[in-house]
Amino acid sequence: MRLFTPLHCLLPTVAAVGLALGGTARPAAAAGDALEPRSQVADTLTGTCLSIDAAAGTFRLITGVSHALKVVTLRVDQQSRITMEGRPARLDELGAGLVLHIEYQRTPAGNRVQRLEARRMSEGGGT
Amino acid sequence: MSAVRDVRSAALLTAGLLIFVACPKPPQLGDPIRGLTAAQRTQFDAGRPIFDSVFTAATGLGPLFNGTGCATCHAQPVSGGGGVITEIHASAVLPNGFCDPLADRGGPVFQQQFTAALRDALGIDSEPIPAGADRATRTTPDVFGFGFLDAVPEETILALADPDDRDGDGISGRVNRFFDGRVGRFGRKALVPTLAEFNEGAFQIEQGVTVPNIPDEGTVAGQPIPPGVDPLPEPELDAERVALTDAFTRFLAPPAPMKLSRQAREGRAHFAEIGCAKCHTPTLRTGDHPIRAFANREVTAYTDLLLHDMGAELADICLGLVAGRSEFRTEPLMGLRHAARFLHDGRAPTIEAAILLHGGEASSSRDAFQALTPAQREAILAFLNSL
Repeated sequence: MRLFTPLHCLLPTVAAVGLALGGTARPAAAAGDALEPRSQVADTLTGTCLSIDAAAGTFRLITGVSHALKVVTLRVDQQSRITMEGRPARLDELGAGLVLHIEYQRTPAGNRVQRLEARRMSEGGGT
Repeated sequence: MSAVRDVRSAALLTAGLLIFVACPKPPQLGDPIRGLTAAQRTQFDAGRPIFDSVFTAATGLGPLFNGTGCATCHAQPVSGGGGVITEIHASAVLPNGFCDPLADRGGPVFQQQFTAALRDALGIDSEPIPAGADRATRTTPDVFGFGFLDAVPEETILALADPDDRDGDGISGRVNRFFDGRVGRFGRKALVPTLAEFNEGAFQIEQGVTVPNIPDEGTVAGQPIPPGVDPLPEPELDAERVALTDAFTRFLAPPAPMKLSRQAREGRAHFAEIGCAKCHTPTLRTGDHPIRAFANREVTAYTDLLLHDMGAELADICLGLVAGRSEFRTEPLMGLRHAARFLHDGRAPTIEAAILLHGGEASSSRDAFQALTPAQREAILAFLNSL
């Protein structure tokens, strides 16, 4: 770690000399230091489309935490609002590999999509 | 005048004391980073016994698992270190080119051990891997200094990326992305965006211990876990203990580099000259951070946290939205002198063997290493053995 280089060690000296010469040392920043567990938001999911069954109106989504992944099946109907890069789209226009952000309802008939936003990720690049 | 002299003398004395106080010996392996608050130090100390604990079926282990506790694998030379225990990952490239992590069939991590109850219920003792899947072996990385890697701003990683090699240096680092599109940085394929998730995932995937953010045990190769084999209610580890374990790993200090000998200093120069430092970026800078000890610090990690093509010989699985079979995240070299085996699967018994197995984008650096004189190669190895 460069935290322990000689230059770093000289910093207190500089500060002390500055104080002796009448300078004002900047007060240390307050430490807001709590570690909090991540929260989980209900009824929204973001994941990657694994497959589409346009005839059945369903698709499968890869989601999860770290390497603990799972596949969730969701259903769209005529009330579902689907967009692709911000433009209206149909389910059969989507495909594997798209990142999907979904608002959905859990119903006795399954997970019913209210809103689906699809986007392509840039190929390993910066945006 | 004498008052001024007194003030200056006092200042110099203060400076001397501050040097003594501010520059204690660097943390030893397994120690926390400097600059923690008392509360953070308490969290670190409280997290260590959880990290070191051994789970049993009665306390949440399994029913599928790879290890019985964090320190079962992260053990060498102290808790938080690496290990030679290996595990199996698998994925498949679909005909349309999409990388399927086999999440609906138990992937991408396939557990090698079952509890007795699951073994008795199914008559098998490890999770089956789908036929035709690509397989990978993974050793246990050390987690020293991972808190600093977590604190590197995403913008820094993005700025280092050069996916189309626009600068024409033959190196095209790519950013991997998790399934929700976020930038990945942890794991040999840079799949996982944050240390917190990396830690939470390890409880569930490696030990079968459910946590609040992953409150189910998953499946056995996609099939439901038989009823009755894991009767403990979920989550098996509460949020407080997860947070304490996270604090322990987050606050583990990076191994301090050794003082460089003349030979090692020469090796550092050769390391840069032959292009190793293009991917093994010597330092990264953290950004603003709610934990002051991590804010705006330089970490000598020797990684760019990006994916690079390492060639066909090392290729194994694809993973995430970007990483292809031959792409691996640049392995951080901090603490390299403590490692017993090298490369993602431990196939290299020495650092030199690992260098010689570099391919793909690293071929030119490997060839340049081979073209060095024996003394120059020894100098590079001396440098790497100082990290």
